[in-house]
Amino acid sequence: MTAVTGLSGRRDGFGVVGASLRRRDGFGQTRSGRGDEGTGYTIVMLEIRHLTKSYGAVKAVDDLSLTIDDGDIFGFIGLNGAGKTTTIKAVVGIHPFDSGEILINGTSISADPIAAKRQLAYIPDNPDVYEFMTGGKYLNFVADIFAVGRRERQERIEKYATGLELTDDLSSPIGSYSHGMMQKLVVIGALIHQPKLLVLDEPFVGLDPRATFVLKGYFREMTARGDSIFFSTHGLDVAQSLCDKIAIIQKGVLLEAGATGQIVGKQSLESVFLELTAEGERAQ
Amino acid sequence: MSLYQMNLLRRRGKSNRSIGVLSMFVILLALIVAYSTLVAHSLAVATQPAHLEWLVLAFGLAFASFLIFVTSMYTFDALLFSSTDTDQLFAYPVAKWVIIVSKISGLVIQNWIMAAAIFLPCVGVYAYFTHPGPVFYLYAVICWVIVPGVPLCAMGMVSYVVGLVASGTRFKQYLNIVLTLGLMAGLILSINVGLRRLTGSITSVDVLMPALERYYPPIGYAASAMRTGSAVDLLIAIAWNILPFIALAALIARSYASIRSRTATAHRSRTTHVGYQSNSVGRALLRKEVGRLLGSPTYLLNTCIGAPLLVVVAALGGNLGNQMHAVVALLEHYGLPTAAVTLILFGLVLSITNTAAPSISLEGRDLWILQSLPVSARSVLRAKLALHCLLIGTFVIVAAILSGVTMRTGFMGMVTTVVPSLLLVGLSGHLGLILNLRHHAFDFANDTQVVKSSASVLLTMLFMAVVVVTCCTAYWLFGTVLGISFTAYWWGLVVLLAAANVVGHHYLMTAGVRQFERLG
Repeated sequence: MTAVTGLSGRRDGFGVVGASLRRRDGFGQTRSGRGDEGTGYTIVMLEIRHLTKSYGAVKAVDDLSLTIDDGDIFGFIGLNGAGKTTTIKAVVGIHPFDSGEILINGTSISADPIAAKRQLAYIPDNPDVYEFMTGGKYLNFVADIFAVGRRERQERIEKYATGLELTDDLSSPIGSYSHGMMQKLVVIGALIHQPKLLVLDEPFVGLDPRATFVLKGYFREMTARGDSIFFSTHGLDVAQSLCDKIAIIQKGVLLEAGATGQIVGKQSLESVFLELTAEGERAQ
Repeated sequence: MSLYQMNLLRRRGKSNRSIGVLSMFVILLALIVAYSTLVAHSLAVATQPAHLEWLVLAFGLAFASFLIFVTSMYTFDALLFSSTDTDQLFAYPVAKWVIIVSKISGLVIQNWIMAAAIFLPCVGVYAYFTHPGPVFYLYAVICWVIVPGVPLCAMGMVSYVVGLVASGTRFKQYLNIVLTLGLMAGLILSINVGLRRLTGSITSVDVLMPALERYYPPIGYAASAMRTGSAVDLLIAIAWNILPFIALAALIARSYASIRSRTATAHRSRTTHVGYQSNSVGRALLRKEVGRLLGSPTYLLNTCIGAPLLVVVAALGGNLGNQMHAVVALLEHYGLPTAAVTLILFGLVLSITNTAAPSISLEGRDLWILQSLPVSARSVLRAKLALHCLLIGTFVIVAAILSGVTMRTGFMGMVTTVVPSLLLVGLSGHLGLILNLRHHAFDFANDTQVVKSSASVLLTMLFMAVVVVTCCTAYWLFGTVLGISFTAYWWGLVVLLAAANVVGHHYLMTAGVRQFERLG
């Protein structure tokens, strides 16, 4: 149950030139509304190949390979300091890496970062945002960068701000926002251009229960469109109930990756996680 | 003590960069020591026949006080009321006054370094000329220790009053600027009045010391104590320098929590209107930079104050009376055209005016936004450069036009001033960004640390000042030694500055882009 290496190819009919395709295996579950229905092929939205990243003498991520298909909600689980944030920051182009390759919908993040970043959105664990701007100005700034048209941005900002109950605060300076409000603002900013891949680092930390529920709804909306979600979390219950696939990482090494049902089996994710990390501890 | 160490730890960077920055500070201090020694020596030579060498000591104390006063603007406010670590410190089981004292102690210790660089050379020169006894050295050390008290107290008072009035208000940032500048102007006016009274009351050299003791006791009694060895004078000097400072610290400690809590509160907008105007990527990035500049009075005031000042001076140039015309006529007599004088003035002001030098550091914890968005490092750097060039360049053009009218330099005079000045603006922008890419600090506790005392800002100022002084020296050399005309020199200067801009731009867009991509 380790990472799956897919077939590479082109499927111009989907308008995704250069994207990797692979035949469905046990992980993929056909969902309604997805572009690959009946073809037996799926688009590889994120492919991490042999990623290695060190900080001085410490290897934060060691030869990590992962594949996330279109429509997947992929949970990335590990203890503190396991290498989750480092992997995520490498995926979104914040941190350069020592070796390996990261492809976003077929585009290499290191060879063509601008094209790769156009297809993704990132929500960090600590949402520091420009405090000198108002919420509305920040969202307009993000929309400008992604060249979202005036009508689309208005529709989406109104939709997501209403859903996350932030409409009344968008004209206020971000400096007056609470942590949760900033988190909501960053979520709206991430969804404003309808990314193919949404990458989140501990997305539910700081959000109130209602916002958490709404965000899960947005996740489902995205996957129904064929977009993918890759997020790190310490919430094992959330991961088990929300994710199609999970990966467990420890000290930079991938311990397990695959369909949630297959990994968990009849146990709880908590017991599997504790068992695997204890085994990993002994092996390392 | 550990709380004070926290203040120091925050300022630490990577060791190799720290060595570079430390070297720069050592060079800067060496320059101040050299300048202070030179002035003190000249003063001692001039005052020796009248046995007034003690004026060297008074000069050293006054100069140190003035510099501490000027450089402490906003530092007090930033350290006490705007630091991000304050909430964390207040959560510790430590008395409030201990936190206040630790923060203020950090400020005092920083200023001892500056006071030492200015005052101790004066002590050395005085000792060289008068050969005093060992008590003098003890007294000199005590005076050095107490000298930051009064200027810091004055700036602390300004910060306290501003904090009391402005915190919690809707436009606190801008009210802060207006009040600070108003109080500073009031203080400078008071000093000016005091100086006039002091000079008016001096009828002979014998009443010089009593007059100084009467009109500025903190320095008067300190100088008297060092000169005469009087313990009473020393105690009075200590009282004058330290007691107001202690009283202020007690006052701040009493109402600190309330001011701090109001300072931390930002007001919500009363309207809910959100505009949906779309912009190109370049325009969006530029608007972001403008927003950051206008959103931080500290950034705005410290990096741009020179530009509007230039316009004011240019506008008033013709109205400064006979003295101004006499100076211009004198300089023309020595072969320095009015346009050259204006150019030197512009160059010196522009060397301290730079929005680009702290702009990368100011991204701080928000850097992830630019790094994860699909924008190239080139676009980001261009936006920062564009803000600097457009803003300062506009002021330069307006100031040049005004000076052309008020200083009667004519159209060619305006061109003579504006072209090299714009090239200097471009050069300082490139240099500021290049140095900030090398010496960035993202873990600052408040904007003041970055825009006032960061390595990139100080290095850019120093380098640009060296450029301007080198240009002036070259002009003097070419004009007097080689007999080259001002026009020929001007063309040479324009070509050199243009070439420096081209090289700087190329470096920024290649190596600079790579450095930006590796940040964080």
